[in-house]
Amino acid sequence: MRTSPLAVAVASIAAAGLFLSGCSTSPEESASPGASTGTTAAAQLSVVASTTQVSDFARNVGGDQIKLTQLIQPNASAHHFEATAADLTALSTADVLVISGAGLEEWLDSTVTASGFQGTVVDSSTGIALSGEHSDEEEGEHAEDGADHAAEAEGNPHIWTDPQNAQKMVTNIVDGFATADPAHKDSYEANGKSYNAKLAALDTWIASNVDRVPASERLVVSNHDAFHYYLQRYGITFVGSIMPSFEDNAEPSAAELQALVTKIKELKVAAIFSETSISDKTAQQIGQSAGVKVYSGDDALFGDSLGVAGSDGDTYLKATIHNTKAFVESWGLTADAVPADLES
Amino acid sequence: MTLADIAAAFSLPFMARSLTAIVVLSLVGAIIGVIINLRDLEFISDGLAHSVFPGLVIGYVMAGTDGLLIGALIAAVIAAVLLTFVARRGVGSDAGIAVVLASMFSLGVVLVSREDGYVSQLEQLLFGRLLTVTDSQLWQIVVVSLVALALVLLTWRGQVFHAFDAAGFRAAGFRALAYDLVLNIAIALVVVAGSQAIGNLLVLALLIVPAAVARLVTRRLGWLAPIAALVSAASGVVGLLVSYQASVVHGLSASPSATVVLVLIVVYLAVLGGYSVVRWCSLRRAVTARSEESAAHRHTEAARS
Ligand SMILES: [Zn+2]
Repeated sequence: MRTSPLAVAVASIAAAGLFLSGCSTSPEESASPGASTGTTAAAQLSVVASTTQVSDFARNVGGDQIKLTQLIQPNASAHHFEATAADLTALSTADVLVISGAGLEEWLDSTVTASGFQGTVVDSSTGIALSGEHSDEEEGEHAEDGADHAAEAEGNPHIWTDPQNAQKMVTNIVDGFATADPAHKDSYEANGKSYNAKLAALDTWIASNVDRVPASERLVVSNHDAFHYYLQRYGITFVGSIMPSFEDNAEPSAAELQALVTKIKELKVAAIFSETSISDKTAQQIGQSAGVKVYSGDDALFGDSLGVAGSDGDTYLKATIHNTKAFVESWGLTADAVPADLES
Repeated sequence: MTLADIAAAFSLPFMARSLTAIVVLSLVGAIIGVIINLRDLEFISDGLAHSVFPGLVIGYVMAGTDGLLIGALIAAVIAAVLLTFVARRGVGSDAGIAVVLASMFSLGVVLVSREDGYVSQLEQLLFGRLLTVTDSQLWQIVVVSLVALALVLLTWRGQVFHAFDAAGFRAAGFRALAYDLVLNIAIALVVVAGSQAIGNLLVLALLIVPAAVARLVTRRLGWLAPIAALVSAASGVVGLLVSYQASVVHGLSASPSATVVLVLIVVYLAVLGGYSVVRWCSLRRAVTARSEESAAHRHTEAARS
């Protein structure tokens, strides 16, 4: 008699096991680790890319020659990331890992170690001069685990926002792919060249639009300091950011908020910008107290991440055009028509 | 999912590490959980789990990731001692524990909100990051868990005696305070060992649910710990595999810790259901037997008269 509840326990564990085996009869292609990568995709370079932007670059450079896994999801913060089992499994068999670099991916070391990744890391920030602040933590706070932090270049990590930097990132990715997969070197270089031509056209289009605005009126208040290189490139003044750091959950203090509102009123800033990856709660609050327009929702900027497929910012080109239109509109003008070869 | 698939999954380095962490914590948690269950100390475990929070914050602020373990250990031991003394006051001890719990937790919240740069790191700590547990964290988990296990096993007979007969325990000359302290510190150590990798929710579940399942399954004292350990480790493995399968095959990102908690709860409910059915059947049988017996009795009475 006493053993029958034990039987129930065993049966229920077995039932859970059954549920488990039910999962594997899924009609979808099986992604069992190590086994399936070599079958259909023997010729493809297996690539994992971290941010939505470098994933877009990698897609443009790699085309059909690569099998791409993107780690950070659309509209997510680029500063924090928790790998899923699928991400780690993809990483464990990947040939190449493309990172944005410049200290953006603070989660990188633990993720790479956990996965047992043995391929090559392509740091797309190689050769890009950093400026601004890496405001994620105050100096000295991390004295203890500073060993790997000290080695990192200091500066604002949102390098891709300047299309000229983006071109360098693309070139780094081309070189990385060509080294890892010399057989398709020509294809990567050709793709990279034509994509970089689009980035150059994008740069020209932005510059010609921004140049129509007097330099003293080019003012931007953003949610976090994600557009440093963009603003620098086009001579735009960064008035301030709502978030005191790159931390998503960081809340500015009442004094910081008041200082920002005062600055907005003083400089007659026309609008403030929220970002798709961050809650616009505080932005709305500031907009109300300063009496200025808030670009949020569909009008929010694509900062840390590109948008979901089908949105106004699902590629780097579209997202940057979207952001530029929003800036120009906030200064009271309407952006010129976008060149046809960028509309794709 | 065939056995070969399972073997392949666990041969991935992150799965092997997650498995080790989960199995070690579930075995130790289940064994200590038996004493917690016998002594109805679930509320104290909850208090300890919350008390570790400010320690994690202080440790992180002072020394980064390396400070987590030592900060949590100090906070947990302080909380264990506090809770031991509060609980000994008998009447109203639940309220006392609630006060300790609430004050430690709000201390943590206050500290966190002052250091806004650390919020999401700590958020992850509260919910665990099993898949990216590092080798050094794994060693910390193993060492701290083994110390906790040793504390409980060395005092096992006394702990069980105390649970069943507190008055006799004291009359026999045992020092109840010392035993309470050892037990609470052991619980605190498990909470500390688990909080980094699997999060507080799963630590609590591992301390409470397997022992509760074992209590339903058997009345034999000697079987409690082995059954709790088996249920716990099996649920850990199954939960880990389910979340792996969900992520890799179906693209659903299910937190492995949360999945293990769900599996534990499903097992508990299933066993509770089975137990109720068996109890109801045996009650009915007993009732029928008794009524037949009394009917027979009445027959003989009637026949005699
Ligand atoms: Zn950012």
